[in-house]
Amino acid sequence: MDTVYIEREVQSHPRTERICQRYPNARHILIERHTDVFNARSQDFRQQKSNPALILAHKAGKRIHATPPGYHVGGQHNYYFSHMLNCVYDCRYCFLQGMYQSANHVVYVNSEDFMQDITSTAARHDTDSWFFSGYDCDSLALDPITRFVDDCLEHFEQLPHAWLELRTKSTQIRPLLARAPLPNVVVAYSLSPQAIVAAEEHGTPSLAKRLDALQRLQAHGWKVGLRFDPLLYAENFEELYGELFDTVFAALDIAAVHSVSLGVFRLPKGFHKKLLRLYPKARLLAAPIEPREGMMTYPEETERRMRHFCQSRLDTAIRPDQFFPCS
Amino acid sequence: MRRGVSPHESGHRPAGRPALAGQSVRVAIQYTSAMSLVCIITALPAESRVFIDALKLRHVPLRGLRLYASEHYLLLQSGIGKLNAASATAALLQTRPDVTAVINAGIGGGKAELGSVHLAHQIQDAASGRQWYPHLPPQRTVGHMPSCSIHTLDKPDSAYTDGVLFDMEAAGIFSAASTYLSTEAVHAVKVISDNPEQGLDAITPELATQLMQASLPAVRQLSDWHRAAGRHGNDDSAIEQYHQDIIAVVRHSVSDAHQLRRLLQQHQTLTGKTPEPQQLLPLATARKIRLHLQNAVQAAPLRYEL
Repeated sequence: MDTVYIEREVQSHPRTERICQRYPNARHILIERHTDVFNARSQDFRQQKSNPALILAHKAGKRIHATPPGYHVGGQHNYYFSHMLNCVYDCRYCFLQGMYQSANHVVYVNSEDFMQDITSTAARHDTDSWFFSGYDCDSLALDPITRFVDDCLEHFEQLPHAWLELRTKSTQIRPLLARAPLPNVVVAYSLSPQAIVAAEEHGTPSLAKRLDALQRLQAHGWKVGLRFDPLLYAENFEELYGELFDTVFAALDIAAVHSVSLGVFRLPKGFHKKLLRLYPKARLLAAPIEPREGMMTYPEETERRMRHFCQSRLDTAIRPDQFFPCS
Repeated sequence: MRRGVSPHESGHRPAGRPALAGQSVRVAIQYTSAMSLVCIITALPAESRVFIDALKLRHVPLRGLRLYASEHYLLLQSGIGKLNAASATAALLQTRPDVTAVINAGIGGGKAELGSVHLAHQIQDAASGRQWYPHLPPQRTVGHMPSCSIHTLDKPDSAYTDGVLFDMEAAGIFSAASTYLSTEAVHAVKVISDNPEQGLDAITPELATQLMQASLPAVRQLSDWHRAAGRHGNDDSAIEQYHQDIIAVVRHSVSDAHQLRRLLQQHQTLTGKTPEPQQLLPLATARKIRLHLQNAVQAAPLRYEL
């Protein structure tokens, strides 16, 4: 990070000071509100992506949100939260590119407020609640800087009726391996065939590295989840995903996997339009994509074939109670 | 980067690529990419001199604007003050849509060493409070130049404070330029001309010219960074030219033209080439061309291979 913007309100926060110490040579720029920089108009997301700044901010207002319908792994009460905005990776299909004006990384340093809100949200329900991290960012990729995972785990250790999903593509699993596994935490990896990782998931760990991280987490006793989402169309779809499933099933103790979910590439119309402007030559956007129920996605028959193939392969290896299709 | 307008939509065609005169003319397929054109904006002749000399700029007449040009640079001398700066910047960018970046270079007052050069990380219009945050380049690309906040005043002031530099134009330039360009493509570089030790009264045109020498490397580095960043952008000039050539021959509505551009992009992405013009032009109507391209795109294989 070459430039660090710091909201005046969190200038003296211990996390701000710790993060700033990691970047002694960066420009440290005081700002009043992170939205002045992050939401400014006329930003070039694509150019910023090659040189993003870090914005340290206070998250005010609502910090815990209900998940969209269909976003769950069996729980009744499902919420997501974002201690960061934006991702260090550059996946061509990512909806964040369509959602934000800026490619800068916002880190909310007031994680104590997130934890308090999680506690009070969980207390509203008699049954277990789920909290999903990694919706607007990767849960682990910037953890060496944010150390959010440690804060989270310490907190969830005290909340046996609250579940945490850490969604990631990252191999930054040291904080997880450094402690005893928690029964109410699932580390969920997004997985794609290596040819798609190489072509569309720029800057992410390879499939082999993700599987290695999953193996180590399983061996350490952590619950792991597999997220085949988004499935991307290709003429050789069955070959690509067939090989992916074979590799994953061979590498992991599948019976012990907490949950498996599956979702086909889909984007809100406006986000798709912005992605086309940013990346007109993106291969995945050159595939047949059409509007359906407010989203841009593959034609119904294509989606049906993709889902059918994947489900039939998954059926050979996982139990029905492990499977959660995403809509 | 300029937002929203392609060089071709704006009427600037790459050199040597005439439009099709008729269907018998073969569409050329070798196109050149658009060049980055950086415009330096100063207020005064004393601030302009160093750039005119070093970059070998020549005066070019343009609608009453004081404009100088070379192949890769323009220099606009706006006159003093926020309003002059805003109106001249807007007039230039409206007239010259090929400008891809703007750098405001000039002198300013601040609590820093006389002659030191600063890159703006924030520009604030002192009168309205409105502010802009340019997206800063990596420090290595601009020689670790210190950054500062610029407050644009309506009158000169000498109430110097730490980290703040006074000027009279930057907010006007940012206000106008941000309508046309993204935050990565508008910057301000200021040289300290007055400070608590040497006040406003000591500034002469000769001193300003002498001080501005120090800003030249910074302006060059910013321009180089902008050009390098532009090379990683979307070079769609081949598609744009092809698109222009087709709609010059076959009538397309605005909606048809958008669909045609997208289909040409998809075709090139999936097949690695633009369609053969001999196949498209005889089709004669926008609808037939679109159907032909839709079929070609659907038939093109999208494969991921290692």
